[in-house]
Amino acid sequence: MRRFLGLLLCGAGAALLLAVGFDYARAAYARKHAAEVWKQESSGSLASHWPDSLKKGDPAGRITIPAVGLDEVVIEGVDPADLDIAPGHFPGSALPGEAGNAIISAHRDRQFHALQHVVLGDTVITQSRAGRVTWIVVSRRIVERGTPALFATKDPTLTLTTCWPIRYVGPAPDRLLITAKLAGSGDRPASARSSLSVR
Amino acid sequence: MIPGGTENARLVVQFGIPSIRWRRLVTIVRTAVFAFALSFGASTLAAQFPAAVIPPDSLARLDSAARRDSIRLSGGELQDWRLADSLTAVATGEVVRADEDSVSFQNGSPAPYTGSGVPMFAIAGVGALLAGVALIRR
Repeated sequence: MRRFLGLLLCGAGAALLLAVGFDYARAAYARKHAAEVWKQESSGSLASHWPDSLKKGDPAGRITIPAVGLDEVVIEGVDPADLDIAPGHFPGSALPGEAGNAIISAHRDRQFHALQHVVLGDTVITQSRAGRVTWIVVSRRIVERGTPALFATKDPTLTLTTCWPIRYVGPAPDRLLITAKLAGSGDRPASARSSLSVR
Repeated sequence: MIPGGTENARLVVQFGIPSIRWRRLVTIVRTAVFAFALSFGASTLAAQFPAAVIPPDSLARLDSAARRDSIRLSGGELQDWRLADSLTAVATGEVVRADEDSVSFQNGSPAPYTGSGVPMFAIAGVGALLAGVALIRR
């Protein structure tokens, strides 16, 4: 009986690990696909290739934070299924570089794990249909989950969100919000006109 | 000696010692499970258990353009910046109470839910495996 129970537990554990492995394999495949689509769309002129409206799951851009080694393709949508694949652009918010608040969210245990090391003054680089834009981090806040914290802005603003504390087993009680403004007093730097490159 | 039985069968009956065939099966299952766990890879495990393991830096994969544009300003250099994060925009528009699970941005939305149950499933799976192996070995 004891051995039967042991085998049963082993089977259940293996099944759970298989499910987790399948989830990651599926997410990795979808992420790779999104990166390939993004590469195709960004290889030419952004203005001529970019769709007018983004559907859920479409690549919405790319975000790079060199100081912490973050480089990810962003997809449209912040559903759990979207966030399992890649950082998600909050539908209804501006795209990075457009007037308004562009909001990008991701899991703390996946793509935005490194966000804990981002400090004021760090550079964030985004690419989207609005072009290649360089941002400077100007604010880092922690708010309770559920707190109204994301607001519309007139100026181009970039807000990155993830769960907080980063090292927390279980549902995290807070949210980390990092806000960035356009570098160079609102003007895009000369490097913003450089060609796109995707790894 | 049990009539028609083997020495291993006698040991199992008399002393509860598992047969060689049974031990082989357990070894095979254990090896397969261990190999499967290893196949996840260190980076995936690191990403799933941030409380214990930190993922390796990936600066090397950044393109040169991103590195060129990367700067890190001191706090003093930020004095001229208008600290207009989204919080200061409250007064400029009507604030709407939105749910955390809302999938469309509204003025006043909370940060989207970015939790994941997958790490808990992984922990539960490893725990069940360890408990199962412990029961079998007893």
